[in-house]
Amino acid sequence: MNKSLLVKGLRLLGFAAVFLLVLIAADFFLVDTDSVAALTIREMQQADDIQLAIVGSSVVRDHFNEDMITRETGLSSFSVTAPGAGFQTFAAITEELYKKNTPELLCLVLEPYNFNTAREDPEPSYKLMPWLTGLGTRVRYYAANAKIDGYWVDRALIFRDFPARSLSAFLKTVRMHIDPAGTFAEIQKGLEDVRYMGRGFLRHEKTSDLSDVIRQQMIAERDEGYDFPLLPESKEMLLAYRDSVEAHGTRFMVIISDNHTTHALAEPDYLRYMQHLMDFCRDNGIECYNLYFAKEEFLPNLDSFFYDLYHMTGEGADLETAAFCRLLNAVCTGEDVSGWFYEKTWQYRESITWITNAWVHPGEDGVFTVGCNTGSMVTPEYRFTRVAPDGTKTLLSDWSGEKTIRADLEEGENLLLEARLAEHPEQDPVFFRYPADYDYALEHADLY
Amino acid sequence: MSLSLLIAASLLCALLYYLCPARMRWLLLLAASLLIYAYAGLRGVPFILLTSFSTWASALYLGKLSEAHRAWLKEHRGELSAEEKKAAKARSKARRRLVMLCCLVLNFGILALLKYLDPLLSVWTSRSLGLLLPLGISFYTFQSMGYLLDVYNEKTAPERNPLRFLLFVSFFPQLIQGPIARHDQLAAQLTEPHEFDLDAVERGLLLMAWGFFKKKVIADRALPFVSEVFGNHHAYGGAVIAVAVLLYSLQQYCDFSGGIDLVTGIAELFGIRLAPNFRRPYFASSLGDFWRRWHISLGSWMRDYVFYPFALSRPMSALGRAVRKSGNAHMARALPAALGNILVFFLVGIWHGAQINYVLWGLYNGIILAISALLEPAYKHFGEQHAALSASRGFALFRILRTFLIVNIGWYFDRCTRGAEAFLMLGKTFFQPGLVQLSDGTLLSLGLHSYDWRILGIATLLLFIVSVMGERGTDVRSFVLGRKLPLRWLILICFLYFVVATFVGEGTQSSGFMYAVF
Repeated sequence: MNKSLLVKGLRLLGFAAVFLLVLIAADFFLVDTDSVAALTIREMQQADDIQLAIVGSSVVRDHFNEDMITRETGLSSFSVTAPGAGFQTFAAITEELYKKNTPELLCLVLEPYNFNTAREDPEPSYKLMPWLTGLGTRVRYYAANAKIDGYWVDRALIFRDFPARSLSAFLKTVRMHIDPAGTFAEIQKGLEDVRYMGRGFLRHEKTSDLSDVIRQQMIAERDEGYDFPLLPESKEMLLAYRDSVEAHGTRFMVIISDNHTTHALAEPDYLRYMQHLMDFCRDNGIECYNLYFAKEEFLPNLDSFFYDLYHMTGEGADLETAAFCRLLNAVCTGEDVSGWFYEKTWQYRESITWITNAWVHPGEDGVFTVGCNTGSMVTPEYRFTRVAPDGTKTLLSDWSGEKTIRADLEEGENLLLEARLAEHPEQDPVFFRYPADYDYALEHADLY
Repeated sequence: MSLSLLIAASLLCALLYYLCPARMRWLLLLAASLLIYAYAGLRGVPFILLTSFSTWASALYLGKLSEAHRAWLKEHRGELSAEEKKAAKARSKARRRLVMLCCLVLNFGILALLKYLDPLLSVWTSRSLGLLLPLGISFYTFQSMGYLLDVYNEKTAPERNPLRFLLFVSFFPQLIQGPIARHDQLAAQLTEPHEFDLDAVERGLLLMAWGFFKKKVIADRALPFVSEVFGNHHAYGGAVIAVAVLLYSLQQYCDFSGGIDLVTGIAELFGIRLAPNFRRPYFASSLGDFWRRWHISLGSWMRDYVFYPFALSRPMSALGRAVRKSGNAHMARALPAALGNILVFFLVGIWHGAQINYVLWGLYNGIILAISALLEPAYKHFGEQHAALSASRGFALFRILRTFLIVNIGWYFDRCTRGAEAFLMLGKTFFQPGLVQLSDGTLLSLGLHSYDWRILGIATLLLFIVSVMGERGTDVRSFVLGRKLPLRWLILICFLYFVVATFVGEGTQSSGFMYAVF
């Protein structure tokens, strides 16, 4: 090889190396930042006193009051929140956790729908990758995600799919890298209903009326053939995760987190999947507690504390944390807690003694059909009213078990469905308006 | 075949090419071409083999007939009268013509059958035979037939090695959408063992990046808007339709010329230079000039194998003589050329597809060119009368804009799927503009958000600057690669970063090359 060619070749390689560095820098700085996620990750990376790690997605951040846990259990606790739901993300953030800590106990909090592949939720890798430390952790995380969905190029170029779209977004990312706590303190000033309490706990004070959300949910969550298979990869990942945690001498347990009851009832496969997950844990000797299946005397239903279908306000978090502490204290002292939970899905379904939500679907020739989510022992009854644009109501059908109604709606009119427990006239009915709620729900379905 | 796969395969092939012994390199190119073609669709392989073999054999036979004729003449030198020589020549020519016509009918017949049978059937029945067009069939058929005609006209010697000829037909970079190469320009380059030249490779890579930029950053980003407006034109006013046509203009140019830049760059990795297919067509000062800058290889093919044979044919010569007798010398020259233009563009329209909109588009261009040819003395007279005005920059700009307008009116017919739709959309553009849709957010709701518009704006500005530099005679690649290292790297890194950050991925929005389906 002549000298000139060698020099030119080295120059080309040099250019490629510089360009690669530019791309890597872009992946760090020219991306949007989930500031809460970035803050909690950085705080966790700096802590070295974590005795109890609660690992999971945003429910961990919102539902577990770390001060209370530390006070009630005596274990220095931290909510290790992955910015998303993919299992690979849990594994990566746990790897970060073990760089400075070896907790005595690790609770992996799973929501059934999120215990799945990276394809279910590709965003976490964009939110987490810039905040990981160490080449090995990054490469393992990248490969774990990309080998499942095949997006090898996309995942290497985070700034393409998750870009900082403004100068302020770019500056926020840079500042979060330099001074996460100080930067978030400034961000905190603009947040009215949310307060970061430290140790990974984010307290929501907002108490909103969920009725609209519920009305949207039954459209967004109606069964459209989406299934929740317990994928072989998921099983493998859970076992590998368990093994890696136990290899550090940490006690491992799975907590299945509760969402709003509507969510559990809206899709037939949801509860079945949850049961499969519990059975899988039992068969593999993994401690597993399902907060959905908690009996009233241990954990009362917390539906009224949800500010959306998945997350609770701080008040609800306090109640859930209190129950969680009782559970931890009991299992750590070897107490038998099996009586605190329903064992089977049918028992849980029987325990739901109310109607969570109802809706109508339009059919042909102006015929509407009712759907509703209830416990398995509940008998609902319905009332249909036509509501004119000026609010005038015309009763079409009084309370009965009839599930269909014919209503030729004029422009601007709504069909009002009300549903309540049969023979319980004292109960406030749940309601649904067609087309107002239906259209709104369809329009916003992608929010869920 | 996805673009990323084509690029990856090309880079790998280039690496293997230079590792391979020099005399085997063309065989590696052939193997890679056939492999890539087979990967793109196994069903197309028999067709390309048939075209290659039939053309190769026919051309070889044509060559043998010519040799035999010459040998016979040599053998009987001094024995033959002029009439006997003439008769022998006519016999030889008739035989050669028969061979040439058989091959033409076979290959254009296959092309016509695969391309037009289904659309024509759908006019009369609802049936479809589900015929799939093999990748690049138009391009390799035209290329092969051009070669055949060159051999027939004894401009080129026939290729004796069938594998070398197969490589000429199937060379993978140009197979997708051209350019339609000439045998005397390309064949020798393909089999010549090129030595590794890093400068040439760098230039090739830069051209590939530029082509990728045009295709994936501009064309594919504009696509959703164009598809939406042309697909639902009833919902939009003329102003939005006009914006869609302008975007289509941009999209089509960047898609086609971007693809050509990419394949030209790939060819340069192997030291092979393909003929240029575009020369900044939107700077054209007339429609004729436009077609000399747009899809140059098809234009020159049509000129050499359709236009001249038609314009110089006996009936056209007779027509010219008849007109000349009436005393109009210009008309005697221009009329055959005008009719030739109409025929050529009618065929170009048909080449795009059997649908009536393509025929209308072809006739629209052909008729305007014909009128221009016939009115040439009037233009000349105007130029002489207003010499200062004609030479002014303002007039040059006016001519460019006028040509741009004429071309864009043609795109209505090219992009619509039905002729009536094109007229409807044209009518709306001029008479029902619905200007309010330009400012009420409609433009941001048709597949392009403000972020996309910004990217399109920046990318188009960059394209414009580079085009102006090219138009002024600057070789932009040499200009960039000739800068001092820090500036060169800065320019390249900024450009490549922009491309990487903004290219449209191969998902729902993106498309294959538009001309790959022709």
